[in-house]
Amino acid sequence: MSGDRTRSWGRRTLPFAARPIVAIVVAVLLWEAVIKLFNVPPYVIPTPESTVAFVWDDWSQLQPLFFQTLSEVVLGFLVGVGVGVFLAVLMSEVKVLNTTLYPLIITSQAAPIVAIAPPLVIILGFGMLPKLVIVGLCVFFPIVVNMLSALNSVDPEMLALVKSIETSRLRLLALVKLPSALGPLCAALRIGATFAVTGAVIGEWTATATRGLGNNILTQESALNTPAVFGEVIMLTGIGIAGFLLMSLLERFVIPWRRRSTARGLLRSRFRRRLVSGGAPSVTTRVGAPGSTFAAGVATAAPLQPPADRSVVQGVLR
Amino acid sequence: MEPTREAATCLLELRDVSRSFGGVEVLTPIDLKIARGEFVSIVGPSGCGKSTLMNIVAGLVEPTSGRVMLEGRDITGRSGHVGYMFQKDLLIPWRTVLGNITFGAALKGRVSKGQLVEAAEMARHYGLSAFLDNYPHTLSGGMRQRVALMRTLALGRPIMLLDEPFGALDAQTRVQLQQWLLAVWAEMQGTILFITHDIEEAVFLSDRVLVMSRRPAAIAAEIRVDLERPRGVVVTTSEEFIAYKRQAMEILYSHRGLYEEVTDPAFATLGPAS
Ligand SMILES: Nc1ncnc2c1ncn2[C@@H]1O[C@H](COP(=O)(O)OP(=O)(O)O)[C@@H](O)[C@H]1O
Ligand SMILES: [Mg+2]
Repeated sequence: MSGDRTRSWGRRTLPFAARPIVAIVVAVLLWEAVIKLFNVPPYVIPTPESTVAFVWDDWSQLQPLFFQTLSEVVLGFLVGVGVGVFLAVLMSEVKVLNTTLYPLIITSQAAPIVAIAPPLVIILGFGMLPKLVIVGLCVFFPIVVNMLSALNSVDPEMLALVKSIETSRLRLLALVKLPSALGPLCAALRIGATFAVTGAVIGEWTATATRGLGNNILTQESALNTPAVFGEVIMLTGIGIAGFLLMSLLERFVIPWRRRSTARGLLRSRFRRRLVSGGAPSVTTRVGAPGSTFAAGVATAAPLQPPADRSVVQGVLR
Repeated sequence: MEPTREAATCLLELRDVSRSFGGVEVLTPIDLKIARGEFVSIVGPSGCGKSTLMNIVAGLVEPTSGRVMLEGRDITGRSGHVGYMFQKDLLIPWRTVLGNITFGAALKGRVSKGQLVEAAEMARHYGLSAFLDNYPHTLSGGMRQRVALMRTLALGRPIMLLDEPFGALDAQTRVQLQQWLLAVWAEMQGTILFITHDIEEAVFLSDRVLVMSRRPAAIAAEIRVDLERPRGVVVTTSEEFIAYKRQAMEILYSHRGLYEEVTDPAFATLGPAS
């Protein structure tokens, strides 16, 4: 009970949507305070105002850089996710590959990405390709690790149940293994979304043929244009946060059973409604043989009768 | 019940089925015949090999020796021929109640609209209609077991193996579900092999109760329960019922080495098995 009260107190004082905004405001105030308190000159740390002003005023010049980097992040992320999911499924289905590929995958992460980026550029050229590879390298690892462990740790009893019913390997994968790995996959997608930005910047620092936010930071830094550096860092951060939020949103759609009590909008619901509204005779009269105590058994299961309003059930069950 | 019944319409037959794990004998050769339409329970102490026996019948575990015959066909070590409900309900969290009931059909291919309607009809008929769209996490323990049983039933296999399906439920819910199960069984005219460690449950539900001994397990005795059907809970207080229960207890608890540490004076008065 007291737990409920604390929660409603928290809700009243700080609405859910306002919380991140408050956090950002506090961070900006701290930034401002540090500059004022320690008398930091603007070429070391620019003020929040001058940073925002830079992004605002120079947006037309920043825009192509922003979209260049954004496309590297998005495409690289997709490559990483694709490769990660593919490898995880492959390794969980073919045990030989599991033990063979795992050391290679760990090696790919143990090698510092900053160190292997230059040779990658030499091999793959200065275009989009090496960037996709570098971003992909950053993204695929959490995906493989999370998803593989989920695919390999499906409840053995569940697998036994499926075996007792009998099915094909593909259906087992599609109906049991992959859905049970969706949660860990979504967690990995959120991590990957933020890693992707780092990957894109490293890629740009190595290969400078196309200009993006990452290599522009280096240019601005050498010109001691700190508002530009800060502004671009904030834009990069924004890409990472947006990716993270997008992946969280995705999770709500692909894992509806976590937060919903019923499936809605499916063909099934309509069947159900039709069946229920069909004025079905109650179970008691159809199943309970005269004199059987089954009737009593059903009576106690009375809440099974359809509620007049579906939303009542949904409301009660969260 | 005529003694010739299972001989005439034998559905499932176990011939000399035994199983060892790493040299340790868990099941000594077991012979068992189950007639079509019968409700047979196996009671035995936990760890005696009841689930192992079920796994053998379901084709998930190979017997060390012996054959499993279903409708005269040898199904030893072959899965996909019986309906098997595990100790855990094993509902699939991302499928709705209806989705869980049609899970077997989905594993065989696309679930047709007809199959969906049929499953929904069945679920409604057995009192689950209000929850068809619900995800399992919203259901009570008793409801979950009902759904799991519907899923097993929907497989349409000639026999259902139920491994302690009500073991984790509270006493009241358990009695409700026992009655519900009897109603389902009577209506479907199905055949059920039921595992429990609860003697009362076994006597209440079954046509025959097989009492298993401790590991290495054999069938220590067979009790034919000739109580009138349909049975209501009240029957559990009748003299006949108590006599059956007592008979099963005597066998279970007097069987040599069954429970090494049983010293309960309540059982001292029971005397040896007849
Ligand atoms: N796969 C296995 N490997 C080794 N021992 C097993 C295996 N399965 C079951 N056993 C053993 O067989 C015995 C019977 O187990 P089980 O059939 O689950 O008992 P019950 O269902 O009667 O409680 C137990 O002692 C268990 O340790
Ligand atoms: Mg068991």
